[in-house]
Amino acid sequence: MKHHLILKDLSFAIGDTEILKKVNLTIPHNKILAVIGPSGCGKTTLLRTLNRLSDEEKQARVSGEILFKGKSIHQIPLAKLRKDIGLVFQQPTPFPMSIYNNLAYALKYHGVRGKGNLDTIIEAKLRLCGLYEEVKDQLTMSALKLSGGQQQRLSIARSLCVEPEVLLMDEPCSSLDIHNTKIIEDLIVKLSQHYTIVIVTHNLQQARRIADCTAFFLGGKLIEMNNTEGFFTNPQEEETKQYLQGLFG
Amino acid sequence: MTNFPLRCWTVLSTVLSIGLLFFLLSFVFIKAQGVISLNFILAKPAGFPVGSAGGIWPAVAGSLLVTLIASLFATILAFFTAVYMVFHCRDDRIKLVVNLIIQCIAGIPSIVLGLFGYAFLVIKLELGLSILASGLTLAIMIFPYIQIRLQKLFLETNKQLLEASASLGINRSYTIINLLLPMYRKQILSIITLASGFAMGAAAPVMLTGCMMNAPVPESLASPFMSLPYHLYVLIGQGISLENAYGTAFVLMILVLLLNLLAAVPTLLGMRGKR
Repeated sequence: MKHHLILKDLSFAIGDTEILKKVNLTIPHNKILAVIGPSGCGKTTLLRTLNRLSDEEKQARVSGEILFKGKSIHQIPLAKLRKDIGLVFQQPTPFPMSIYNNLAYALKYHGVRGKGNLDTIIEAKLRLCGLYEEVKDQLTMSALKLSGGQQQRLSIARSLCVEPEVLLMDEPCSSLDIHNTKIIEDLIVKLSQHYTIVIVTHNLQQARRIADCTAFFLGGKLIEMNNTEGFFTNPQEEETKQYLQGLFG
Repeated sequence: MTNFPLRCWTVLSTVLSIGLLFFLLSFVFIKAQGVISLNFILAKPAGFPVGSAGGIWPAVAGSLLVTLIASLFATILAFFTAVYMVFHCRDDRIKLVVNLIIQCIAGIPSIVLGLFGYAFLVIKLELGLSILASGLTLAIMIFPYIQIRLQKLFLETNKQLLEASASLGINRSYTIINLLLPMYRKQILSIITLASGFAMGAAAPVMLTGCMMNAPVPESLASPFMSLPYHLYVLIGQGISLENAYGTAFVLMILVLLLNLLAAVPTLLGMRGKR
C-alpha cells in the first residue's frame, strides 16, 4: 500500500500539557482513515499538527517527525504545505461574502486569473460537492444564507479549489442532521478516489460506514490501527474492545 | 418592587440625555437664529475687529480639511498598530506595554498635545504654522480612539475564519485585506467617522499649531487656516460678537452631528437589510 503521510514518534505539547505522545502512524494514499477516540484524546490536535496549524498555538512544542511524500513537513514552505493538506472544520466556516467569492478567494491568492478560468474551476468543485445544481442561480448570494449542510459542502468545495492532495476533516458532520450527514458521507467516499482523507469522528458507525482504515486514540497515544473491517470485528487491544463496547467514551 | 426605582432611573437617564441634546441644540439655535443664513456660512469674516461681521466659510473649510488630514493619518497608524497587536505580536509583555502607552496617549490633555505639536512639528520639524502641523497634532489625539476600537473589533473575529483562511495556504496580509477589511467595512467606517467628529470639535491642539484668527481657505498643506472651534473661542474670548459666536457654534454642532449620523448610516442600512 502506498503511503502519503508518515508520523514518526510525533509528540505535541502546549506548555506542560502533553497532548500527543510518541505517535507512529502511516496514512495510506487515496484512502479514508478514520480517527476515533473519546473527547480530549488528541484527535483534533493530530489533524492540526499535520498542516502545522497547531504551531500557531502559544507555547506549542512539537517533537518527532511528519513526512509528507517522504519529506519533513517542516522543510516544506508553509503556504505550499497548507495548500497540499487542506482542513475542513467541525463547524462550517463560510466567509461572509458571496458563494462565488468564497471559492474565488483562495483561487485568486494562488494565482488563478481570468473570469473564465475561475468560473470553470468553481463550477467543477461545486459539482463535485453536489452543490452546483442547488446554488447555480444564486452564486452572488451571501454564503451565510445557505443551510448548515450546504455551508459545510461549500467549505469542502473551497478546500478542494486549491487542489490539495490530502483532506483533513474534523468531525465534519457533527453539526448536521441525518440527511446532510448522508450527503457528506457519500461525498467523502467519492472524494477518496482522488484524495487522501483523514476524518476525525465521534460516530463509530460513521467510521465503519465510510473508512478504509480506522485508528483509535486514547490519552494522546495511538492504541490500535487496522483496516476498518478488522478493527471493528476483531480488535486486538483491550482498550479498543472496551471503547467499542461503549464501556467508556 | 425593588426593580421599580432602578427602572425609573434608567428611563429618566435616557430621556435626560436625549433631552440634553435637544435643549443644547435649540438653545444655541435660538441665540443664533438672527445670523444663521446661507450667506453666513459661505462668506468670509469681515468687520473690525475681524469676525464682528461677515461669515465663517474659511473656518468651515479649514475645519473640514484639518479633520480629513487628521483622520487619514490617524487611521493609517491605528490600523497597522491594531493589526500588529492582534495578528503579529505574540509576546504578552509587549502587548501590555503598547496597550498602556496607547491608553496614556488617550489621556494626554489636548492643550499639552498642542504645545507638543508647536514645539516638535512647527519648530523642530520646521512645518511652520500650517494645516499639516495641526492635522498631525489632531491625528495623535484621535489615534488611540481609533486604535483601541479597531483592536477590539479584530480581537472579536471568529478564530475559525482566520484558521480556515490559513488552511487554504493563504498568508495573513491577504486574509486581512481580502477577508477582514470587507467584513468590517461598515464598523471601520463608523469608527473613523466618530473619531473625525471628535477631531473637528477640538480647539486646543490647533490653536498653537496653525490655526489663525483670520486666514483664507488653505491652498496647500503648508498654509495656515481657520477652524470653527478656534474661531468660536476668539469671538467669545475677545468679546467680538456673541451672536456670531452662537452662529459658529451652531454650524459646528450641526457638522459634528452630521458626521455622527453618517457613522450610523451603515448600521441603519444593515438593520433594514436584515428585516
